[in-house]
Amino acid sequence: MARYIVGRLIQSAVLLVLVTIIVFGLIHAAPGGPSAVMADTKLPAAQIARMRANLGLNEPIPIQYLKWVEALSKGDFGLSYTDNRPVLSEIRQRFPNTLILAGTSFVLSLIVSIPLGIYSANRARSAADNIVSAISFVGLAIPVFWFGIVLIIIFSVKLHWLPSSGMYTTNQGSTFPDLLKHLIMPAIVLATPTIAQFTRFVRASMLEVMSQDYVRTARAKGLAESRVTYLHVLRNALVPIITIVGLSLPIVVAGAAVTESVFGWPGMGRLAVDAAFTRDYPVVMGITVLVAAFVILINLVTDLAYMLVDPRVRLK
Amino acid sequence: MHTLMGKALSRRGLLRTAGVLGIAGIAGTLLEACGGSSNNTPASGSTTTSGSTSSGTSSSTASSGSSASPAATSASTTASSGGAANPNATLTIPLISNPTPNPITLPGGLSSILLNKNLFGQLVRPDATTDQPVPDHAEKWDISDDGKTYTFHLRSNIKWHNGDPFTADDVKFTFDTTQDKNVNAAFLNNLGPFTGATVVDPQTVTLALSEPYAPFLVMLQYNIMFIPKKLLTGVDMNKPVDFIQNPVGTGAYKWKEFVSGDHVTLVANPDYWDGAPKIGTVVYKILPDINTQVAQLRTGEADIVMIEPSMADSLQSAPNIVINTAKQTNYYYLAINNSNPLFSDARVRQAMAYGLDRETLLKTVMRGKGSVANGPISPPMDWAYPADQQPYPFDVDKAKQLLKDAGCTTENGKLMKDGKPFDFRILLDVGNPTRQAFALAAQQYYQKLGMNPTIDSEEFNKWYDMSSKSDYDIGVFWWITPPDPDALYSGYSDDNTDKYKNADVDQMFADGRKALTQDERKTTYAKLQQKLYEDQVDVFILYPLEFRAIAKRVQGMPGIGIRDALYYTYKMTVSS
Repeated sequence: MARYIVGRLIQSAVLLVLVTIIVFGLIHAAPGGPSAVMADTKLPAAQIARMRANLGLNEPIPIQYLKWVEALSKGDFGLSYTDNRPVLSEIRQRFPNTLILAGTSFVLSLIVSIPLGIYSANRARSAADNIVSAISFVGLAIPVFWFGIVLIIIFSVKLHWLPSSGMYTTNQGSTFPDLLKHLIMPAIVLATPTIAQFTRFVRASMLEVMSQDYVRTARAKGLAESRVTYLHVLRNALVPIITIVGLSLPIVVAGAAVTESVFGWPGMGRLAVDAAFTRDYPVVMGITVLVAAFVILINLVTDLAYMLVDPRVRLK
Repeated sequence: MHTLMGKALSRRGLLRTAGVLGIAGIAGTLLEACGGSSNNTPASGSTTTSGSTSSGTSSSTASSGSSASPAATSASTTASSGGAANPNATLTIPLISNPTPNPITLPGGLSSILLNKNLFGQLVRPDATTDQPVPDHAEKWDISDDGKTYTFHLRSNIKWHNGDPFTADDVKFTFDTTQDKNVNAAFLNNLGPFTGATVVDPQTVTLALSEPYAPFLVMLQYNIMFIPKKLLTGVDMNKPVDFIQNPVGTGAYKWKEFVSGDHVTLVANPDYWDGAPKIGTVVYKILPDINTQVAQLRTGEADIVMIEPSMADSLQSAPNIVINTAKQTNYYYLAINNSNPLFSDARVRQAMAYGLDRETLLKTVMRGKGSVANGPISPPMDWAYPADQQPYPFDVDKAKQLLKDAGCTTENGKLMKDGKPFDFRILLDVGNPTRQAFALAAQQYYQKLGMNPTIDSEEFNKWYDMSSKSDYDIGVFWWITPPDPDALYSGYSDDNTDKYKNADVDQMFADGRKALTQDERKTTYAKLQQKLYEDQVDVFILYPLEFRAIAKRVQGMPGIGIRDALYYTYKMTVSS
């Protein structure tokens, strides 16, 4: 077990280095340079060249990469080109906010989708199942952006029930109830496609297991239907569900970008998207390292979770 | 196009522009807010003349607006100023991205510009009605007869936010920093032939030029802001990491708090030279999405939002919001790559002006706010703008005739020039509805002339790369400049991206820059505008007004572009 984990950690480190090389190459290959040196298209070329030189952008890309790695090894993530603030402190401020939003919406997704999926599977092809399916498709198809604005118009502009943006009411302290009020709409918006996707997946996974011989045997033994569903079917159906849930968590974090923009949520998704658009290389790279490490870690945890759920995966 | 301000906006497609002519509603409130107090100190008002003691003053440009300025700039004789001071009030202004309080390198583009106006101070500032330079930290100035030495007399009652006195050393330090080759100073180019600053005494500083530079004062009012020598000596201004966490300026508001991606809070500076601000707190909320900004305005959580013209209709009916427009030095145009053989004949370019129904575009896209453009000199540069010039009317027959005169032929309904089909690309930055509308209209109108345009929409950075390298046939551009025709130099003289070369034009720019009297400049620029109009270097579309939606409770916002109007935040009031 310990050896397995150590092996996986080494794999992870190699993977992380590869990811940074690829992202570094890609962001430099993207057309146009950093917006930071784009004061004016009519600026004299010499002045632009000087600004680029001051940012160290005229060196060959491999050298730039090595310099970045060198600085990183000392814990220096560099400064953002666009706002001049230290990348690490920026991420440190923003990442927890994204985790709060993504985490809440993730938990919300699980709470809603697992019971709904089970319910649907138990009544496969009934009217209720069809309604759940239809709603799921709507949930998957709904543009996050539009849905967010609609909620704001209804609940903030018309009804005045909820604040339209931000994490806290500005300059009134940071209280938990205030946070909750701000969290409701973005969490729902972010959770909607995930709920839809998970519900479909739980339903499919349950149905597949239900058609197995051992389920029929369990029923033949005269077990109570609830026992069959929750003990035999659900447990086995959970294995693929854990996979997709594990894979989805980073996607939810990344997908938070649009939601964060619509609701002015000071999270990292927005930071990442803005940095990519403005070719803010230090910020892009800082976030890459962090997110890649996070994804790799989640995958590791997912694999460990398999072992708990499924004895077949346990290692000798 | 693009100045720093255009930049940040365009990426999100939020460009909000321009302006002209006070326009009833807001001008009313403005006058109400600033009127009455014409009795101010020597501080305001006629400036250049006051320096007549020394080497004699040239009757230079900037004082032209001075008759209007006493009313506009003189401050806070409270009673007459439209509303009472309210230290508990908060004014909320949304920004699309994190601002950074470093006026030298200006990271953060437009967001930072809008923030810096309230934090930092300048020698001169734009007048609240004429937009021309009036005293700010300099209470008066003299210009030497040869136009090469400017002597500024600083106010004695100015303090940095940390209590240190503001002196000529700070002014020199700021200009020295801007000149430092290792510093990516954002507005270096605007300073033209500026060579260096000299401290005469703690209250007097001279700025030297290598040659006369008539727009100098206008350029100084354009985001050239002071940083404290005592705190920043030896600090790399490309990355003043500590300073931007806790900046110290001389502006009407002091830094209080910053939460990345969320907000910046500023509080009133009671020691501001022109009197304590009336609104106690200014909050800049970081809201990247324009729809969210508007929603916040509707709920009363935001006060001033720049909007696209297309958004005005739906906001008009909101009970707590006023839509107003303001003049701004800006124009939309179809930039023509003059090195492309298709467009090398002036008659072709004129035909493209005749062939585009700009009146209709003005009515539809701009909701009628603005005017059809004749050339790059826009109406807010009012002393230089030749108002009597008539734009080319919409006339398809005339356009076709001109194309024929230029040697174009038609084969199977397709226009040909020099044996080649008239195919070209229209470069557009993705996401801005106004410019997109212009691109689509141009495509349709030019198809009617037998041309075959395709629209090439590009993400901002690629767009920037292409436009700065002249990699376009036609580009849908805009250009916000300081309010002086000389600012257009890099677009039509020099090594411009439109690849337009004309020795007469070069000469006119040189003359206008060096001229010592306003009349001389006026004549030169009238000729310049006429020349660019005849040559139709670009298809000048229109001079837009800036659209902004403002909470009704806010009073006293000047009717000039928001970038300049925010210098006067300290005079605005809110009713409860």
